[in-house]
Amino acid sequence: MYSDKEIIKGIKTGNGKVLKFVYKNHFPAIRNMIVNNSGTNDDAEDIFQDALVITYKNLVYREVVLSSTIKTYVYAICRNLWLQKITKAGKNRERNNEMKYETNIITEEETNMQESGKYELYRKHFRLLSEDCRKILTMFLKKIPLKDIAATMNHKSVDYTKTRKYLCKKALKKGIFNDPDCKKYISHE
Amino acid sequence: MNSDNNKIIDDFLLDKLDNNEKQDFENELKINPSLQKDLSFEKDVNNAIIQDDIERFRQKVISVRQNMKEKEPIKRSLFIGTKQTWLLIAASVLVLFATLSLLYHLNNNGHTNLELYAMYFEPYQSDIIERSGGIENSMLVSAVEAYNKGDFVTASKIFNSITINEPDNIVARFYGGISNMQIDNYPKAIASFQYIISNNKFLFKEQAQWYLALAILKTDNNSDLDKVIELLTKLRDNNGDCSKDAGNLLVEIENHTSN
Repeated sequence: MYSDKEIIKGIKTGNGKVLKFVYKNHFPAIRNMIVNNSGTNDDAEDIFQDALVITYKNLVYREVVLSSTIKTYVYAICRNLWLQKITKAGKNRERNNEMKYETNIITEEETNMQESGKYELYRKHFRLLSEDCRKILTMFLKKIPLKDIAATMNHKSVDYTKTRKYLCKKALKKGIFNDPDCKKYISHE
Repeated sequence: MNSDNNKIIDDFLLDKLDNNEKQDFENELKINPSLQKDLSFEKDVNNAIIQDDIERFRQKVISVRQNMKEKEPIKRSLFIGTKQTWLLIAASVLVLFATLSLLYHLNNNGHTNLELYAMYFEPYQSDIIERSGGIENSMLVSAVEAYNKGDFVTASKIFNSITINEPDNIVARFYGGISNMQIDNYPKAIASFQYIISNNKFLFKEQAQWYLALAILKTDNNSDLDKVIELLTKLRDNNGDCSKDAGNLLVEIENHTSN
């Protein structure tokens, strides 16, 4: 049994035991909701998976502070996602104005980027970096305090961590700029 | 890319500037196209890194869920559940019933479930290469080699690894099921065959029904005998490869249950 605080921490760190707990305890209600509203078991699986990913993104990168329990939060996201899906499918044109949570997190801008070659180019070069570099750059974007990044990476000082981060970013940009496909997307001096 | 802009852009994007610095940066941004371009590039690169991290999280979720699904049917068939102790009691009663039934049938002329299993079970002959016209998956090659050598412990492990990454790999599911029968891991075998049948996979469906019936028979749980009879009746009436064996086994079961 995990408390909400432990679940939030577990989602943020991708803890397998916590994710399993969330599935065991929260998925049945979502399945009932979707299956009772013209969905299938597979729809429920997809929606719940998307909801967990949205929750992760909101907790880690948007620093959302929950004002409800995690169960209510995930349920609300699932309900909204399902309404979006059936509305899009033309099954249900009615809008539910009661939704209070921000669940439209996949913005048009992000969707366009996901589809673009530019995005794939950047990800390709990110993946070519060393594992340490990928970890450092990701932790910076998660706004993890420098001293914690230094401790995780076993760096002797935060200054060294800053330098490593600078060098990793530089290596990433160099890889991108040296790629023959780079000219298609950006110009640089 | 202007390297002088790197630090200020980083700080701006990570919200590390104080109000005055932020204002100055925004004012400069309005009149400096180079800074605009650099900021846009940094944002895109950061988004790419974030998307990569989110994708890794999604893969973790998928793997956790897949792992749970693999285990769920086994748990059900073993009647294990901390909150379902009554099921354990029921299972004990069933085991007692099965034991008494076995003793009863041993003293009568009909074959027991276990004897029938021994009479009818034969491992499926590997015909993977003929079916797929060559195998590209190196893990599958190793698994088939182990299977053909009769090393069913190794084969079942590799087939299992394949299905974790590729749940719909029906070849691995099917041969994994047979391998598990060979090492007496019937719950896992049953789960594999049930997956093939419930997902309506044409390839191996009939064979999966046949081996599922045998695996259930081998568990010697008379309360599941209806399921065995249902599967065998379907197979017999389908006029497929297993039709004759299914019909014969059905007659044997009817004889032994009527005694």
